Amino acid sequence: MTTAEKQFRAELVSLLPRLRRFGRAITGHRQDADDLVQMALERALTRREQWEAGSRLLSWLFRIMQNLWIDELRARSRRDRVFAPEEAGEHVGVSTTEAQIDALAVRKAMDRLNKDQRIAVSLVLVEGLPYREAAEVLGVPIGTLTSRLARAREQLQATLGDLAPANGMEAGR
Amino acid sequence: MRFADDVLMAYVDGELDAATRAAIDAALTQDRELAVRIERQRALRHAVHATYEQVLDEPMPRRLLDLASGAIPESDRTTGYARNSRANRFAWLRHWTWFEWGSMTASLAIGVLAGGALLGVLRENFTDAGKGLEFVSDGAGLRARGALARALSEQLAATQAPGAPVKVGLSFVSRSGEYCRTFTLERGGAAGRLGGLACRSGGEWRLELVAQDDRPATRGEFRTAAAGTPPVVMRALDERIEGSTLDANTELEAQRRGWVR
Repeated sequence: MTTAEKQFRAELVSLLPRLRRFGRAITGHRQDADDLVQMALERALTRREQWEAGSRLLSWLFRIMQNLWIDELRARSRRDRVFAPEEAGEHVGVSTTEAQIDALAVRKAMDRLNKDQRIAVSLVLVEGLPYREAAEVLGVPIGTLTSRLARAREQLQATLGDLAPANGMEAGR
Repeated sequence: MRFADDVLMAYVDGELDAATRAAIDAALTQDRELAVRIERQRALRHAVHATYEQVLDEPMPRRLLDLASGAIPESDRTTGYARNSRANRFAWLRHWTWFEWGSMTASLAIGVLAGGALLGVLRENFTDAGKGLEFVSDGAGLRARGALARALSEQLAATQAPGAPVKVGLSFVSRSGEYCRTFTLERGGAAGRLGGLACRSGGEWRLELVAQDDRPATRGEFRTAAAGTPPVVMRALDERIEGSTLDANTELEAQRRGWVR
């Protein structure tokens, strides 16, 4: 292994937790997310020369993951007639705390977004990417990203109801 | 001053220019409705972020760690699906042994088969109750015979018997204009289950691919009635399909025409 490869791999290892989180956010499924990370790693390792040094490795990996996931969704839509919907692997176990109940509600609400909205939310709200970087990952203008975010948020709010503490804060006073 | 929702979103995302942010900060001190609207955006951002935060603390799966760090032994890397990144798709693929015949690779693939245990598996599983092999193989590739050929020609996905030895799955028209059908054979035992893809040409069913489930027969988590088709077969379908799969009516119509277009 060359020094450059060692460095590249060390960086991959350090990014793994975030790749898994992003995968979980866009797929909503633990197994799919880890498989997606695995495929993205394989692709990143075989196409390392395509990564422009200086650009963020994390963004490049997110881009690979979202491309692979969109391909997979496309393929699955053709298989809908054979494959039963996946079990929602996230929903096993009994939620006890309020935080877990909230998380369950959020995951369900995320499942109702379309794929573009979901990926936009995952990049900005989950991964905390700046708009510019998220738009680069998606290969879309910033305006497209922000309108996806706005629609996604409206829908999440509508599904989840009011998450803000509403104690006494009425608009009309 | 009324701020639009997308401005407030940008505010909680930290994406506003300094002047607009200052204007909002100033308005916040007297505008209670604005405070509520911002708090709502903030709460949503926080809730979504917090939902996935715990993933960072989960133990890292060994396979991802090994792959990223390069710790996978060379011998493992050159076996199975690791050689073919397109084949290495999603968990269930890893449970299948598969082999594929194409016009170019036919002789090679059969050579490999003849040299390995898979031919025995094929022989065993494609044999129709001792009446001989369910396929013939020559320079033109592998073609279905016997009960397999009959099922492919006659059975309809919607009406086939639950216990039928051969189950047809999806039917479709390939890019080269042939009718193709996926199928599975439930044999159980050590050999597990076989699935494949056959395309109609020259009055015969040419086997494009056969896959074997090498998991124990009792593990059937995704084996619902409709979902028995091996993933590699689905992948082969994805690569060949023109348009979408046939529905019950067009399948029946194709069957009545003898799978000739």
